[in-house]
Amino acid sequence: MAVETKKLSASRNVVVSSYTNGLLDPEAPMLGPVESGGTILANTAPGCWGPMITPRLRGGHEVTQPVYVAGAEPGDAVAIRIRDITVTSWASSSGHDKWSEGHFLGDPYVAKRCPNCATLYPETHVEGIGQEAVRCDTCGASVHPFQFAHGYTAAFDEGRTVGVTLDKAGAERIALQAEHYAALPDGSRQHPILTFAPHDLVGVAVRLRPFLGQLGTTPGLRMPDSHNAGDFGSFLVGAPHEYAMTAEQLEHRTDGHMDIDAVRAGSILLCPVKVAGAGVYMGDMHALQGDGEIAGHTMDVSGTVTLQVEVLKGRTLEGPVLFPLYEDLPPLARPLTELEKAKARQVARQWGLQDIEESAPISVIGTGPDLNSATTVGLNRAARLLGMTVPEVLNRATITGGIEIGRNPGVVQVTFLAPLASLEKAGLLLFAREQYGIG
Amino acid sequence: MLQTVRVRVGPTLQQAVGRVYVTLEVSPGLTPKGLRSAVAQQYPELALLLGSTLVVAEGRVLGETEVVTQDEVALLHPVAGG
Repeated sequence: MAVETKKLSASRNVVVSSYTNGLLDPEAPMLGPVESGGTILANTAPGCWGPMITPRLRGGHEVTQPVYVAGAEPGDAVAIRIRDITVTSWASSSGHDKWSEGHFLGDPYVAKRCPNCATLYPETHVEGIGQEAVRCDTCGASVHPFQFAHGYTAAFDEGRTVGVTLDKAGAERIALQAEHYAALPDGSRQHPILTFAPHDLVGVAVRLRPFLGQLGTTPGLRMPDSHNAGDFGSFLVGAPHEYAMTAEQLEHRTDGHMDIDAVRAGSILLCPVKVAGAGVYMGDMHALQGDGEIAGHTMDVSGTVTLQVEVLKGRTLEGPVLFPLYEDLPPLARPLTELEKAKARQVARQWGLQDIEESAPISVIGTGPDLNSATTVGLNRAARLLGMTVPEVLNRATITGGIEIGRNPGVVQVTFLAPLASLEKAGLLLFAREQYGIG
Repeated sequence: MLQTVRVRVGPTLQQAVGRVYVTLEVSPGLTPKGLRSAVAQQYPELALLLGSTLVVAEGRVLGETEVVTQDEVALLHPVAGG
């Protein structure tokens, strides 16, 4: 009955300014519903470092409360068109982490614990600045499941186009007004990482290129948000805390935590639906990132996001599928120009072929405990999605695309030019047409 | 009849054993727990490191009661990140 009510009252636009406590839970209330074709506007809170130093949050991120999309049922897909991503933070602190023994139970992203009074998920407050500033409300001890092994603080320009890493004086000036410079959303419950004032890199100028590290649908089982992927999710298998999963349960994930830098404004992301209403959520906005997020973390920022969502009935997906911007495609996956096609047709005719294959780019996401596993998953998903054998995908990805690393240790994009007939049969041709003007 | 299983070991295990792959001859019907025991028996230098490893095949973590039927698996330590 609840589902029927939601269908009747779907809105064209849903505004999101509330957040999870780090858990993606299919039993938890969703916002919305938004109608298929409707728009979601969200103010996202920083992921990673802020939640990592906030013991009350149980997932490593503080993603948005999921939105119910009218008509979406398990077995469908949701197409998400990213209309806009805008950074609102004035500054960001990040860097490579080190874990503090005694400050967590098995997994510092999920189960933080006071090292003094042993309270699990303690309420904490900030006293001063620096890496020991987060204090237990109960006993006053410093609780820091993570500290920086090497960190930096960057300030951005007014237009959020560039940033510069600061020295100690600059980082500490920002730390004293951390919530302001983080532009922390009012509903966020994280401690701003700017409080730690790291400053191991000074004077490095960077170019902003924002994207969403987390964008997807609610998994079929409750799980910590940063673990909704095959790599970090494997850390839940046999874990000593209450959010442990079996290997079989991990297959209910939706791979929303991808950290793929091509998930940015202008791209189209298709996501599997595993719960009624899909539960579209987002967060972990990064100001920029090189392929692989090799430091483990990059510049986490607050921001605003505009998405358009559309239900694809019966389009069952094993994992996310991306139609990146043209400039984000690997060189060989960029459609041939008219001149190149003319030359190729000439070669084809010389060798007795009637014509060349018509094709368009597609990027299939694979995740797994390591990059080899993630690649295997991506190849298998692509083969089943497009009705090909894995060896055919291997060949196509080799000569018309590539394997790109979203995140080390285990998120990849398998990108290649797929025949238009295969895309059409899979119900995906309309996205290639929309994104690349092909077909 | 014995089953040959090629085991790709993760970075921590690689450092201990000095190679990327180890090969085992095992009885069919082995579970992940049995596989870890077989590795520990054949490569004692890995014994202390195997407790928290996951057995991964075809991109998927194998369940603890599942039978290892694959010719090649990976033994990996799980990693968490942001």
